[in-house]
Amino acid sequence: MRRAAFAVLGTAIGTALLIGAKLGTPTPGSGTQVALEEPADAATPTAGAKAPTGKKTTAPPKKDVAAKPPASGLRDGTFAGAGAKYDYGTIKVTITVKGGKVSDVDATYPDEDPTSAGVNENAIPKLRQQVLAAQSAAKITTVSGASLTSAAYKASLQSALDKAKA
Amino acid sequence: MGAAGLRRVEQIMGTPISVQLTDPLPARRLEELAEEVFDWLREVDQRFSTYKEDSEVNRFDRGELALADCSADLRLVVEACADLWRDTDGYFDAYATGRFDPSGFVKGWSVQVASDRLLAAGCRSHWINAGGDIRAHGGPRPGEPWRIGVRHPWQPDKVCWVLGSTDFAIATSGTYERGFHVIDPYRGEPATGLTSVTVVGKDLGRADAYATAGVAMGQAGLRWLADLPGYEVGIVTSDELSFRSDGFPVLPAEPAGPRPLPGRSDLVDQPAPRIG
Repeated sequence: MRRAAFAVLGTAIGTALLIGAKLGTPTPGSGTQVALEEPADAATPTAGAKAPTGKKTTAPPKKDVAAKPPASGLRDGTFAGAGAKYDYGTIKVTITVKGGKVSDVDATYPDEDPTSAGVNENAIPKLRQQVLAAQSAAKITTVSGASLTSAAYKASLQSALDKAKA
Repeated sequence: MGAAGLRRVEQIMGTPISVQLTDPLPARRLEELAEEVFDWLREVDQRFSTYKEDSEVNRFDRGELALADCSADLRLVVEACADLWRDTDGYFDAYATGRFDPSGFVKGWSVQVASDRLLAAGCRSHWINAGGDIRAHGGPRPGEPWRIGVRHPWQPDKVCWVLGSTDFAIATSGTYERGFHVIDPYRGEPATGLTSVTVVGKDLGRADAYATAGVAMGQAGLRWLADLPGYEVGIVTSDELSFRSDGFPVLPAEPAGPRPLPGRSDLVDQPAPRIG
């Protein structure tokens, strides 16, 4: 269970890094973007902080004693990432830190609206949930859709395609 | 360039039927093959239309024709509808309206037969689209698959997936087209929950029936559709979520080029692709 959760976290972070590297700086409002956010006042967690404590010459400003990061650089508490959008849907990762160590990782689909929650709770393992796309029909030959009557056809994309290519 | 390809549209079975043939055959031969497709579909309409008083299906329904005396085609359709009723837990029901009406199977089946005949006649690159249900073989050029869009339920000029293959049937059923309903046979009311269900596989008659059954099931259809052996699915729910199976043959989205003009006009003005 724990291992699976870490795998998910790894994937989410990996995706974040990949996409981050591709886009450079994320542009707000663009289709695919990944952002893992920290609380504004969080101490920056440094992976495997190696600096021996003894060598510290200047103590960090003591704003908040409780928030002082232990050797690992991770502050105790529960931290939620922003919803990260990628190909298969939106994923939200939450980590819990205890004693400076990650004690739990949880990845969920956000369930803001009750109907979506219903679907997600009954997770359908064989289907991939995706963001509903609206792509241009520029390079398609024909289009599949719910039954068209002759009247509806006249105003349809299929009719336009037939006219364009006849 | 146009000589190697042929494209035609006719209204049959109350629906527009578009055909494209792109084999490097003489233009006259392609005309003949297209005419055979439309002749067959007109014949099916005569025999299977529930609107034509004297159609074979109506005579069978009124008991004027015993099953044993029906054509092989009608017997096949009756049997297929019985199989599909069982395979869909009763959600595909040719008797849903209180009489035998196999229209939900006949359209896909007849297009499948037309495509099989084209293939047998040496026409390896073609597609037939009957009101949104498609059977396709080959592609626009050798080695290139057909690019076929799945209509976006709420944006009629957009697609939500582009599918590609050199041999597939695609059927879409949905609740978004005005005046078009799929009745849940257990409640006797129009189904809601799944707005658009696309089923892809080898047989268009089955794909079409599965798509209709999936819509009729509502949200419960998600799980049922996910388990269809030999068929892949793409689904849009009424709350705008989208789901697809792993094997659903989506092509990657086109890289965003110059901003397209809004609306359909950009399609009409688009230069015709090279055919053949």
